[in-house]
Amino acid sequence: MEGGDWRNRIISQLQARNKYETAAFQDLITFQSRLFDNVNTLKNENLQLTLLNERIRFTGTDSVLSGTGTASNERIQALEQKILIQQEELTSMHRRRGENAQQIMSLNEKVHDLEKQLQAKDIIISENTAVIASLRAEIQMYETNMTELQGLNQVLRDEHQALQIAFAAIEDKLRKAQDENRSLVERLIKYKAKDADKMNEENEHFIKKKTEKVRKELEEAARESGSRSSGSGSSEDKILDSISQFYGTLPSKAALRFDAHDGEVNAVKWSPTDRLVATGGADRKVKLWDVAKCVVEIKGTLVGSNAGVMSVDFDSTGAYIVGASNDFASRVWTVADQRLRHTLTGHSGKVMAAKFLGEPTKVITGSHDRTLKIWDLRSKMCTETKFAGSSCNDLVTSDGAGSTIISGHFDKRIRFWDIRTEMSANDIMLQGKVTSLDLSRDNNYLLACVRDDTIQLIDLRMNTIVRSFSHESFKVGCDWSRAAFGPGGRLLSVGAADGAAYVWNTHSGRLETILKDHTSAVTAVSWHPQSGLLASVDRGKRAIIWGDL
Amino acid sequence: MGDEKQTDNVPSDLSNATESLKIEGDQKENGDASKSDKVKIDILLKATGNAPIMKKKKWAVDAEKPIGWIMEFVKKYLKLEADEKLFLYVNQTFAPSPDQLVKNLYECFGTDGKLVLHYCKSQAWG
Amino acid sequence: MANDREVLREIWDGKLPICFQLAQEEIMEIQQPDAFYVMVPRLSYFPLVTDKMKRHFLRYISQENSDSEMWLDYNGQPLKWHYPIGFLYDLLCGNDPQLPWHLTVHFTKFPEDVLLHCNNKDVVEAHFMSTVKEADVLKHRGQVMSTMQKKDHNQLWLGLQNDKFDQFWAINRRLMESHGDNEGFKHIPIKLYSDDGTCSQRLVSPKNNDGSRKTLQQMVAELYPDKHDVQLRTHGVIIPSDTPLQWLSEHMSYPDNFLHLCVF
Repeated sequence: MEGGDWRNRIISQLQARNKYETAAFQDLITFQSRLFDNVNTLKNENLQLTLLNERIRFTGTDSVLSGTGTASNERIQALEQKILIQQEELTSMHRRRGENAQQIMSLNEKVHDLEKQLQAKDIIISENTAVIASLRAEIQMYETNMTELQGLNQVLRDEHQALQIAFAAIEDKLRKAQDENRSLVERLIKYKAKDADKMNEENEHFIKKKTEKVRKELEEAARESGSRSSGSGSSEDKILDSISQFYGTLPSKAALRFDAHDGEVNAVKWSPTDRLVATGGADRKVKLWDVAKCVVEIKGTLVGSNAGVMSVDFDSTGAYIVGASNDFASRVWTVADQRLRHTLTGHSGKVMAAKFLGEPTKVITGSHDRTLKIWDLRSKMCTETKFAGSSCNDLVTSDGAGSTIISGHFDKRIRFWDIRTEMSANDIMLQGKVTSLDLSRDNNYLLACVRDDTIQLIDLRMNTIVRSFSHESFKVGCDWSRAAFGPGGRLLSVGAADGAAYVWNTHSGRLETILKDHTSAVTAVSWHPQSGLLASVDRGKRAIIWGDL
Repeated sequence: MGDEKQTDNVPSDLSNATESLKIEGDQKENGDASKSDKVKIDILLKATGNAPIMKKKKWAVDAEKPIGWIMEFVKKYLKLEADEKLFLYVNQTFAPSPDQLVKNLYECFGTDGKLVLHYCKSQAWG
Repeated sequence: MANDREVLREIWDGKLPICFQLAQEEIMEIQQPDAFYVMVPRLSYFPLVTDKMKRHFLRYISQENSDSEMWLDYNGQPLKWHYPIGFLYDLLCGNDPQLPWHLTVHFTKFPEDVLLHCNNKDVVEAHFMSTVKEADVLKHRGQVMSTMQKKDHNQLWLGLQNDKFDQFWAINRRLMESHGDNEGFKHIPIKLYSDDGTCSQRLVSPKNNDGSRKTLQQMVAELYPDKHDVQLRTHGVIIPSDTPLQWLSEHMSYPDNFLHLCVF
């Protein structure tokens, strides 16, 4: 405990303070508060008593303490109380009943509304069921349709498969057939080659024999008396001529004579394969004659033309024959069964010439309507038309493929055509109408029979006239008088107006022979490709085969 | 009062910014130092608990203002509802009486030239 | 160490006689209410001692004010409830003591700008505990209060509320111990009031620069260098100027651990 004057002073001050502030008043205030509390409690009691007093006075009894006289009053009071309570209950019951009635009405309304809704919903439901039923039916229908279609599909698929198999089989067959065909063609070619070789051999043989003979004769002749010149050329020429004579087997006599048609015979052609000759006449028929045996047999008649046949041509195989007719159409027949295969209509004028083009699927025709038409036999349609500008009297095709066509026209021109172009590539002017054309087998020389009674030989490579043949008694019979090269190209023959067939040597230009047997003008001649037989026809229904059969 | 503070480099001046909050505290200066300029104390207000953080924490307060004035100011600044309470704490220990003057608190509890006050929406340190 | 028990006891037993009277304009009954006399401890706070008085006066005021907050004034000056009663008396009537102390009771026109609101005793407890903590911060950097348990804090408050000296001082003496190795506190928790009521609080050390114990006089010289004849009053006594500050703070602080000194 710290001491010091300051502490004492503080202590004394505090004690004084306490005495002054606290002690002096403590008791007083304590008593005061006690009194205060007493007063408060008394006041409260007083208040309560007065309240009680008031209550008692209000209820109307004299004193609370005495309870005896109040028994009946109490009962009355209790009863009154009960009545009050009952009345209250009654009013509340009434009120409740009113409320319930209200509720009932509102509930009724609700029920009504709900019923209406229910009805509406029912209607909707029934509609929906109907829709469902119809949809189901549709579905059913679609399903049946689908199954049907599936069945059909299946069937088609099966058929397709079968067809495919058949197709495959047929393809196979076709292939096989094509192969066979090819092999057959090859064989045929082989045979033909063989034949040709044989023929060549024969010819050579023949030539050899002849040359032997000639040598012998020459030797004889030379031995005899120097040389007998005929004055028509050098010895070489003579030899050549003789050779050519024999080589050409110049026909000298008529082997067969027969009436070919009921009218003018306009065309004659040998078949390239066998000894068949076809003639076309004004009687609208094409007749096939077989001269294999030494007699002429009519092989067949090809009908179908509605007017006279102006020209006939065999195809390279000899299976088809085309005849150009004055009814503006040309027709193709098969030789074997003589059936009309195709009719090529389209020209607006007489068809003067018809030739096969290379392969026997194309035919070219020349007509008085100043056009040339190329026909495709597979489609039986005219594939091309060439406008020549002048009536075509005759036409030839240059090579196997037929890429160059030469046509002779009324306007004295010979026109050269490339098969691909429309315009003539070239033309040669002659002195008169060109009545016929023929091409040599080596395709280098062109023979033209002109109406000015000459035959012109044209070298195709140089495009110039090489030689011209004429005779004072040779007159061209008609506008379509046909001339023809001989098989070797050394001879040419043409029919004349006086019924004779004139034969010239193409090399020397000498008239070799005149074969006279016809009574009317000879319209066409044709050389057999191998044997040197010459066929000629005239205006007087007659056909004559010259040579050795 | 030996030392006075003249802090003018604090950006905001509370007495200008919040004129609407005026609590008439004792404005009479002590007889010792009577300067006509108002002395300002730097206050740093830090949020505690879930109280929102004030964008501006440093303020310069008139030294003669009571703490209650700062409490009202912070309540307004934080846009507190009328029934929400705000508690200010010094030294993270005790809550000063609202009529305690800023200068007294700064005298006794100021650090680094400013008085740090933590505020909270609920009682933090009792 | 606050071991001068005699001084502590004398201070604790101090009581003041108060006469409460209801403000005239608020009386609604015809009958005038009696003045309410009561002895109140100097160390307590008004809201703790006014329950009975309030009940007494409630009867006499208009019904609409019965829930409003009560406030007191002396001579027109509203009384701050968060100051200890003894200190208020010293401040207002120190120079001119008049006993019993007459106070007027009001229920309306609460002076918002002067008084704080006090709705219940918890507000008083919160204020009290906060002040104790503040003092602890100054004395021991807040270490003593933070090491104490909640029940100790409660005991402190209950001892004060129920006027139990031993209960209160069992805890409070821990707050009066020295700080660390030093003799005495770090700083003295002290509030100085001039006669117009303005409070100033300064950092005061119990030691001088040379290490000797600072006396009151030395402190006064520090704080009021211009003034002379400064005297300080607390608990109704004038403090001798050679009193050591440390002893003063230990023994003559109010229960909130602060020295409240009136300067005059």
